[in-house]
Amino acid sequence: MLMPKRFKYRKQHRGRMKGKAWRGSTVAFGEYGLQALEPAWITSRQIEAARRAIVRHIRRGGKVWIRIFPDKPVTKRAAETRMGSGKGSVDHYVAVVKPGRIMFELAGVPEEAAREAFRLAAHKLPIATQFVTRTEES
Amino acid sequence: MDHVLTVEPRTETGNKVKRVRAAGYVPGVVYGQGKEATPLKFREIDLVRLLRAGGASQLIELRGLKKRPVKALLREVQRHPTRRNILHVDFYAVEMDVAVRTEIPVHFVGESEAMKAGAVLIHHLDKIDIECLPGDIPEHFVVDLSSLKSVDDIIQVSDLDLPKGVTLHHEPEDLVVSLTMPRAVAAAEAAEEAEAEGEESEEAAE
Repeated sequence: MLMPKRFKYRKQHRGRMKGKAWRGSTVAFGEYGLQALEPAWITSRQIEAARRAIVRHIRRGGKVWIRIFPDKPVTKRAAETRMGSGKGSVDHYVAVVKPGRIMFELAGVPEEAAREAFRLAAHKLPIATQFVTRTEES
Repeated sequence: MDHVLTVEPRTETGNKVKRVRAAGYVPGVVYGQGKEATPLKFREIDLVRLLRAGGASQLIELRGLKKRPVKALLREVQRHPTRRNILHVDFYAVEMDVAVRTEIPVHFVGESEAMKAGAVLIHHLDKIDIECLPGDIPEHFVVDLSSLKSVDDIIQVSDLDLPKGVTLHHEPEDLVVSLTMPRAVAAAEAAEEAEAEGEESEEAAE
């Protein structure tokens, strides 16, 4: 699973997910992309599950790019603990995704295979997504 | 051949630009060296047609702004991240005797033997950054993929056919395209090679 190798500060504030992803919203590496249509925290488990769904479907051939990285630590309080005594410990990592963000890219497979791979991957994600191609960008 | 776009002067600026979009127009601006920036608007379908005809990197004649048409290059097209509709366009008014810097698309032709064997094409550059006089701007660069015989073959910027009067704004060794073998194919090939080597060594032992 994806997670930071080291970090400057162990715990972060939650923050807000206002606006659209104006950067990272075009297909840059492959031919096809899976674009987020809603804001969400995508966990490293969800990214890995989606990646596996894509790789399992395309089997031979094709190259996959993951355009998001779970660099935000999410903390959780231990079970059955009283309130207080500071912030909980780091539980998992998430990627902050805003509408428009291209999360996965694919190259070297026919469009139909890419559509199906991304449809399967979208079922592993907590948000609405859409399939985009590089040719639509120009 | 110059592309033609009919535009109208625009008086709405700031938040009022929303009204321009609601009326079915796209807001834009034209500016140039020593020229004042002029807000303008035009029908989106006209620009979409122009882009489909390859006008993104070519000289465009803006008609309807002044008595004489303004020759300009498309500098920036802002699109909505999810809907992909055009939100705003920047035009750069050019002087025909002053060199300009622009990006020219790359067209890929031919079929690579390595790609037939399962290799995946990686695009490093879709557009080439060049500088030339506005009249010398090439329509596009053509890259022949049939020269890619094996996975290790690459096409660099220095391999492109450069028209006269055009200078590149890239390092000669910058990659245009390269190939990569997907992990599954690479693993299968490695296994086949290992099998073949194993058979050879068995034969030698016999």
